[in-house]
Amino acid sequence: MDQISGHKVSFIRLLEENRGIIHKICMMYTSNQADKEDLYQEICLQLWRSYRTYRAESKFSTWLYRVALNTAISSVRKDSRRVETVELEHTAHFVARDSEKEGMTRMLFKAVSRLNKVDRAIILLWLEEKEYAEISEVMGISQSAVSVRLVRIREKLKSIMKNLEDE
Amino acid sequence: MNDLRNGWKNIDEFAGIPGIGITSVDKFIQGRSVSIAGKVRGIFVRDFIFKTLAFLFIALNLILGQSDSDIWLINAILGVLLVVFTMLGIKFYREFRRSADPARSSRDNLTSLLTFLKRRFPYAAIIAATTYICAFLPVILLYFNVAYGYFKPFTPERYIVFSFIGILGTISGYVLDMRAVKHHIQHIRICLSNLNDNALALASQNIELKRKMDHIIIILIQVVILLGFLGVIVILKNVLT
Repeated sequence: MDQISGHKVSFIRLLEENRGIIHKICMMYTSNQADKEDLYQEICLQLWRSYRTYRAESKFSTWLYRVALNTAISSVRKDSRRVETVELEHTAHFVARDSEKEGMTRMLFKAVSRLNKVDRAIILLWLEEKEYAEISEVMGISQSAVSVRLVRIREKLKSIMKNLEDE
Repeated sequence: MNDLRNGWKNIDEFAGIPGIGITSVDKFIQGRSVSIAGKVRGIFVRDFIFKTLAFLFIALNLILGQSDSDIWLINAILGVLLVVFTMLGIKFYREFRRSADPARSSRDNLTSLLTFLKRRFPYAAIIAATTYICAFLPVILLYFNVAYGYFKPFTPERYIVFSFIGILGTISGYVLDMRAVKHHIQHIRICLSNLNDNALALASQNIELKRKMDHIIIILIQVVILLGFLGVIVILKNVLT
């Protein structure tokens, strides 16, 4: 097996191991299956390009979140005139179908989908139970800024939830 | 918020994901890009394709027009200009690749992309736009050579019409590329201001610093373009009158 094929195989193994999180990122940033597939493909492409220069200076997960989230944040829709909101509650598939809890969670996801792209990245890292230090490393802001942003996001979500209940 | 976290854990993360194999790696390498970096890369790739075609037309003219020293000289000058523009294009592309590295933090990534698009891309777009005139002129010369077997002299009207088409194509190319990037700049600015109040100010500082450093290269590009095309026009005018 030549070096390029070996490189490809190890990359595919890493993709297989982490495809769940790539899928969740795509879900967070797109509103339909076609856009989701496009973004998934783009993230894989950027990971492949960056993988050749990955030097293990940071944790693998930090590197993966950086590449994937930067790609998602800077993704542009094919039709740029469309409004940049996603309906996460439509794209998410739940493992267990507990109707009451699922309804509440879908409502929360609907609120998350109305956040801006940067806030969505921060909340996604928080949902993934990343420590403030890692969120700060991925986003390039200080740990105290992460803490402040999470408080603000929480307030924003509460306000959006209230509006959604009124609708 | 805890409900959200619990719900997040319950999402079937593998729903709708195809398996990944070597063939799919090849597939996404060839796929169309949806990211800003991918779209800007597309502009560079398109220009390199046009430059290759322009080189092809120039080479054909150099082979077919060996008996006409003026035509040969015009194509040789265009060829040299195209080599200079291609080298500059490669230089800008390398800078772009460094700026668009997604393996850095979001703030660094967005800041360096914004700095490149604001300060360097306009010159890269000028270089890309000149490809049109470098390709258009050899195509016209090649057409006359193939259609009539010799270079048919231009009437003054034709001279004006062809110059107009060449200049219009160059300006249109530049305007279209700049318009495409304008939307991306706006998108990055919004993301940066969402990321951190200080991030946008920091990006502006970087842009200003880069602007000062760019002066020498701008003057050099302008001198090369001006001298090159003046040379071509003078020779063309001597041939045609």
